[in-house]
Amino acid sequence: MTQWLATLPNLQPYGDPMYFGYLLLALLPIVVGLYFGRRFALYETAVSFIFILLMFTGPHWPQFYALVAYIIWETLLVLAYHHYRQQADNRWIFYGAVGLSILPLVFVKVTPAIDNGHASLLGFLGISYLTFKAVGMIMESRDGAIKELSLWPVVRFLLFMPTLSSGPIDRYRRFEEDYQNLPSRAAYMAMLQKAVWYIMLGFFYKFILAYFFGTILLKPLEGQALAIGGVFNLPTLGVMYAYGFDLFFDFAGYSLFAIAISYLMGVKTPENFNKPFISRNLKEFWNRWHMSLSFWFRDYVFMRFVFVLMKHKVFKNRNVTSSVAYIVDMGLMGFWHGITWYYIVYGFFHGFGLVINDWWLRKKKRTNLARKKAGQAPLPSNWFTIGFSIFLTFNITMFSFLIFSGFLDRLWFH
Amino acid sequence: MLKKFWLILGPVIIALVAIIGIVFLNDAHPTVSYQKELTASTALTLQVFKSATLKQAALSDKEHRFVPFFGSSEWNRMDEMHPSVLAEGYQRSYRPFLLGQKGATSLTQFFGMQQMTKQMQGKQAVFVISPQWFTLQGANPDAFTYYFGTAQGLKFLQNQTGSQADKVAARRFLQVMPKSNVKTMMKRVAKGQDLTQFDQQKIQLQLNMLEHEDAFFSTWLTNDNFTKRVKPKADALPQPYNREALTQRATKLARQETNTNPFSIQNSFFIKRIKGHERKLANSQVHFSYLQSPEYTDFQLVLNQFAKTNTNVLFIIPPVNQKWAAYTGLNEDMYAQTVAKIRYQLEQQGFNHIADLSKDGGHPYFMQDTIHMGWNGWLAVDDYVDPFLTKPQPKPHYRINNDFLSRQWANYLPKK
Repeated sequence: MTQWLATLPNLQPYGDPMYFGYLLLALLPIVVGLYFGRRFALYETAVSFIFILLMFTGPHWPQFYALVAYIIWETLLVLAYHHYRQQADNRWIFYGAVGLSILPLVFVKVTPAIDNGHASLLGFLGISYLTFKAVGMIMESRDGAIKELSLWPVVRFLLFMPTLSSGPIDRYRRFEEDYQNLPSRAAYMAMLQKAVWYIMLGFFYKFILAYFFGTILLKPLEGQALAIGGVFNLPTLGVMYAYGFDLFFDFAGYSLFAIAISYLMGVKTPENFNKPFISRNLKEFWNRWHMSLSFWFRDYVFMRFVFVLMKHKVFKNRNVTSSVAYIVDMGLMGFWHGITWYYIVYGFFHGFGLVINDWWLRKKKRTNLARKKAGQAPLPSNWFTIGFSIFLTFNITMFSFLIFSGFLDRLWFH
Repeated sequence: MLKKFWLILGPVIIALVAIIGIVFLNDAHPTVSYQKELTASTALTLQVFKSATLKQAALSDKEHRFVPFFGSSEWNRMDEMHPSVLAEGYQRSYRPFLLGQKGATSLTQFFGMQQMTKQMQGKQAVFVISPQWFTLQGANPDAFTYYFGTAQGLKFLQNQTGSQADKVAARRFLQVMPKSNVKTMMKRVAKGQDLTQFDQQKIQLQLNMLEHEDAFFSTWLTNDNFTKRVKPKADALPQPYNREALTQRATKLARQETNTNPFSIQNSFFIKRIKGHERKLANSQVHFSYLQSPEYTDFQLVLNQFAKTNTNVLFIIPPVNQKWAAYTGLNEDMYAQTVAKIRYQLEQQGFNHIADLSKDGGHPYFMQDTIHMGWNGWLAVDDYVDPFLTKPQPKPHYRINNDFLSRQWANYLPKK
């Protein structure tokens, strides 16, 4: 089996235009089926299996075993917890189930940090995203939001091929509803149209713009910046913008592909980006950037953490509560990216950024209220203030991406 | 419903047909005019360096003889004595095809050569081997990535036979550029495994596409150095050829252009690159060493390639600006030892055409700036290049020794 896996060609999802050729050809029968209101479950399973297998073949074969083991582990855990939840609701059992479900991811994230950068054997491409889905299912089981759960739908949701490697992160109930209810012909045509548009736009983003920013601009700038050295220099500023745009176009392009392929398969996977660079503040930015991730953290970390803090009356002040929750939420997200100083700093940078943002919004509200009472006009809001806030937010987020890129690590310490 | 389908897919289909029509029905091996070959030969752009079409067209031109001149940033020092200017000005029987830019080193050249192995077969070449390439780190990953084109990698994969040198080349490639779309196949070669049938087909298919693309975009050349920098200078050369008169002219030109600094460095270079932080650069090179470097391995890959294509090569070893070296504290003994190590590697394997100019960095107006030759330096280069390319040369007999591929040789410290 291992030898066979190692000899198979490897196809990284959406890696090159060729991949789309193979994938679209394989998807054609599914598209025809959906057009005529049929879902060929068996064929779909086979295609999904083959394309998932090909992500982990060649030199990546150990990851295939890791994936299989992981799926068994998470599926059993989710089903067992769901089954338990029908009978009882002990808090500690719930914490235990969540803990066990993120345990493999913790191993994968911690191993390189303590073992000279060696990857954990448990790791595979996409483990984070599957973990988000699994944890989501456990939490919603506890809430009683997920009423029914059985083996095949869980596996199908976890292993949904288009979004396996890097999201967007879907929710079980939403996914299952799409899966069970086939779209009408007119609705499916609209989905088809959107899919074609997204694939084309994705090509433009990933293979043209991301290449321009990430290869043509970024590489020489990095060289210049490293050659000059020091704490900060002009080419490093260039690296900041080039990397930021590269990151956006690469990931947004990928997300468009994943969404488009989902649509072709009759599933309306949620959006991941919504013009993030026109945000007027950090809060808005996180409603527009990597949305499926930030919403996941909002629903399953931030909200729940705030709830726990309020319930136990940890802080008297509501604002302190939300501030602490912001920092924990974003800090955790930083750790999730990887255990290196720059990911962690990136997380806390945004955590504190959101706290400051919140404070500013409150202050503005108070001021405007006071001005209103005094019969004055509210603080000015015009093209200049709006333009300035967009400019400021844009540069703050770009700077955070410079931290995130790890380039400063190379500039300062290597 | 059909109309709806057409509205959705029509634009995509039209675009696909247009691309296939324009790019793929285009001749993959177009005839390139002499004028365009001249432009390409001195353009020194990334496009030309990566383009198989342009390199192959010029080097296989039966009516005009282009000779590949491999090197790095020195080719951009286009003063009146530059090899391309002299070849044009005195209507020599050859024209240099300049390959290599700032930051290019042996590994970049090795992969570039993969696209023109046929055109190099049994022919001649000139190679400027700079001791500055031989740093402890060796090839700079950023520069390598910048100059590397997928077609070069695919050509290498197609050319390779699983030899020791091929394994080392793949290993070095993976070290310098760990992320690329030929990574998986390179790993196989590095491990000494054969490529699969699927791999071979994939390579052929991709190469086919890239060749058409290359041919298509080769129509548009940028950076016409030939008309802007080479031709006017060639026209200004004293006629007929007279070495004495050339030296006088070189010296006169150089004196005018280097009169603002004590290092005889070209004024524009001095103002742009040194003036602001001259003080900081004093003794900045005391600890430089070129004795141990993976570059020795990469250089051996290049030598292997020349032996494989039986190319007769003239190697030029440039000096550094002596006044500048003294100011920055560059260790002259170390430099001489580096040159000796490079020469040993060459001579042991039968590469006997060596223009060793490494001791001439103190001659008047030999250098254009800190490490690049100019004026009288270019004339000294020409003293070797012209006879090598215009007089009949015996066939080379190379004796390749794979020990030079080893880490031991790369890290070998010559005895003082």
